Amino acid sequence: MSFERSDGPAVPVLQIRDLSVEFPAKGGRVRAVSRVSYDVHAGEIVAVVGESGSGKSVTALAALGLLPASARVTGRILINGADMLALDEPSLERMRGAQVAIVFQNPLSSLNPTVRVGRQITEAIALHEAMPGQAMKARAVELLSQVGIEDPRQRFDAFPHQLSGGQRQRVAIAIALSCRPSVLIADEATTALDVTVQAQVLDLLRRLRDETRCGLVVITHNMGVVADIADRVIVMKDGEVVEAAPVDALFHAPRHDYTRRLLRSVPKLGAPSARVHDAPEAPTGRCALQVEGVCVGYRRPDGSVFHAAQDVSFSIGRNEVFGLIGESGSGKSTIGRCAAGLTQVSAGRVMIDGQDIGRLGFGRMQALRRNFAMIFQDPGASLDPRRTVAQNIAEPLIVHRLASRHDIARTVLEWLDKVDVQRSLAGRYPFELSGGQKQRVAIARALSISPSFLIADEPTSALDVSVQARVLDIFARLQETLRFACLFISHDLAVVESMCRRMAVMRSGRIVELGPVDTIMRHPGNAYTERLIASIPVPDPRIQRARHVPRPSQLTAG
Amino acid sequence: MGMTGQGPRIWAALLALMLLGIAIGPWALPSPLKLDVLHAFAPPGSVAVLGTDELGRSILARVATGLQYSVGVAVLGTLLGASFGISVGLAAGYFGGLVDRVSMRLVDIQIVIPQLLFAMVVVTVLGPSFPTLVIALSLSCWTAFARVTRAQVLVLRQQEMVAAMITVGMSRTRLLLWHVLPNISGALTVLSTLEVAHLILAEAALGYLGLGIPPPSPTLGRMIADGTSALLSGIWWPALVPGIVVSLLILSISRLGDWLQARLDPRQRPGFANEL
Repeated sequence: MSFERSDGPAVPVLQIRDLSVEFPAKGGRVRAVSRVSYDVHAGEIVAVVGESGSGKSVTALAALGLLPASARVTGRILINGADMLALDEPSLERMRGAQVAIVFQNPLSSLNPTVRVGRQITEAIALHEAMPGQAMKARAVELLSQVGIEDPRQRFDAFPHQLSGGQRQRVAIAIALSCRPSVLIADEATTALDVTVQAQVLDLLRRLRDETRCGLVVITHNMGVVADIADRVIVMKDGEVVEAAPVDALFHAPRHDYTRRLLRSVPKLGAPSARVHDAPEAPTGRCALQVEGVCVGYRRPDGSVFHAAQDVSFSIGRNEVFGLIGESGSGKSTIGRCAAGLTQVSAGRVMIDGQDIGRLGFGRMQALRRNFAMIFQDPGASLDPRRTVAQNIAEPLIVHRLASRHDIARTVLEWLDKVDVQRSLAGRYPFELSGGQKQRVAIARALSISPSFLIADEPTSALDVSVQARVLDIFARLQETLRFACLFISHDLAVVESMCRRMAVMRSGRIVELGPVDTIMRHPGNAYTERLIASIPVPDPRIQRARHVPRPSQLTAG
Repeated sequence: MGMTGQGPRIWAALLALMLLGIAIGPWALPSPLKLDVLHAFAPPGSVAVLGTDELGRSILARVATGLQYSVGVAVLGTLLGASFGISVGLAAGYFGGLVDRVSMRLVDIQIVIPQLLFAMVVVTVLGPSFPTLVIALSLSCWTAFARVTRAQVLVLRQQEMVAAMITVGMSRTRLLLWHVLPNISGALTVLSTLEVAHLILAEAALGYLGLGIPPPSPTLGRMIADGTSALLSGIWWPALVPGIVVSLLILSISRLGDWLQARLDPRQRPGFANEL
């Protein structure tokens, strides 16, 4: 099948001109997008990059005519010459799918869980083209194979839950491509995927662009993804375009301050650590945490056992920050929960400060908790929404009776200073804070009891890069002054590299590699670790281009 | 849902008026027990504002006193039922396992017995009185609280907040009372309002069946029962006035519940969704 299009190279398939979007808000209107203009040509990949609230997704939704009726939109969005803002709903419906299509972040929520994936593709085709059922099915199977689904004829009858995350996103892409749109928008389409799967989906998008010559808009917050896939880059901040440049120019000669700051914030793989250390060694003597042969199993409804963790052993010395890395489902969070005493181990033991926490009674465990703390991924969910910032931070102090009523207020304010949160926010509720502020409050709450050991479970993965950089800075600074030991769990190798000296790599519940971070990064001793490192998009388009050649085109995996 | 415009305000005003009547009625109005046989069955507007009954007693005064009992029994019954039900629900949802299984089977058993029938048995066995009614009605409403609390706790348990509080080293009591309970209080507030309306209806039904607070104290249910016979002779006010009052009371309370639900549920608040 051919996807050739007759559009001349000079006419952009998507033209956005002076687009402004306002939403009603308390006491007036809020401007989400302000006079944004950019073009996308056929066969071109334009990355729109920005942090949350930059208006990048609102622009995309406007291009599909999907904004809520309350939004006030001005400007023009031309797709093959048709102004999406001037069309009525029936004409918009004819445009969507046929001329412009979108792939969302989470395929689990954008696919219909009760309909077989093949039907979901044929349904999309039938909306725009009349063709016999057999031909339609043949086309759907062809699309599935085009997006790299193995056994497309069998997979046609699968339900979304029977596919892996990467396969689901491939199906979502197949649906988007079903009517050969001239503009495809990928709105954070690889954000929810593991890095190894993300690398494959990026390869797929690049190949589809070559085959279909559609104009591809990749909306992302990840500078590595931008470097990997983009021809041109639009940088957005607070609803405005701050810089638009070809990808090489943007990365090597950024003109705008914000772009420079964004690039600086990205933790870089292989960047020499700021701190000079001796070759790290496994701790001897009394450790902050010892995990010995830990297994965690869950019984499935059919009676078989699912092993979330198998024979995991490592130890963390006093004052050491130890990284635990892995993709989703690797069991890294399970180990974190075991170390915190939140999950029972089925075999092996967890020792904190030399004490086997499986053998401690409730009372002695509570007493031990005076000395360790935990930080979670989503500060919005881990802070009590019904209590103020100050009350949240004070809670551990009250529980362990570490301060008198008068001292508590003072201690809380001091902690707000230490994590760079204005004292004036003490009386606010968590929902009034930004994500970065919330996580800093969560750090203050965890550290307020001066623990000797901290478990940090993906503490920055819910945050924007520039916010992440700031939170990691504060974290590193506090670790240096307070000298607590830390189990740092993350899926992001670059973050672990910047924070830790030793790390363990987990996959499918087992540790596949353990040792000094520098050694593992330079000479990975395991095929999986090697693939993991190779999959991480580096924020440098030249490096990424060089990597495309050796990276095996894993069409069918994922 | 008609949450806009004057609707909620009218119901709120009506409810306020009735509560005011309950508060000052007994002092401002003639005694509900004062007989005046010469003016038996006086129509509304003549001797008394809302007329008199077969013994010439003021219907307005009797309705005010009846409301007082009615609301008192319903509110206390709800409070008692809520404290028991919420405790059971918190324990069942948080601890799970055997605690959960045993308490939820208790709830199931309670639920298969028709509420009114159960209340009638309790009142008959213990003898009708104010405290008996409160106990009987609380027994018929605790299950709703237990179930709603349990469901909410199960959802909340999965959130990192609970794990965070556990790792802080907090006692279970503090965790449940200080952090879990406030976070589910919205749903429980709404449920309480609706249960008060339920129990007012149940109290009226028991009164109608002669199982309410014993005479001579007036209850709305018995006033309706006593007034029914006169209805045939065209004397409508002794039965209809308390009937209308109890209907308006229940309606205004459940509208208050709807309004609270809309106010306390952030998803139903007006305004643009912040996720875009």
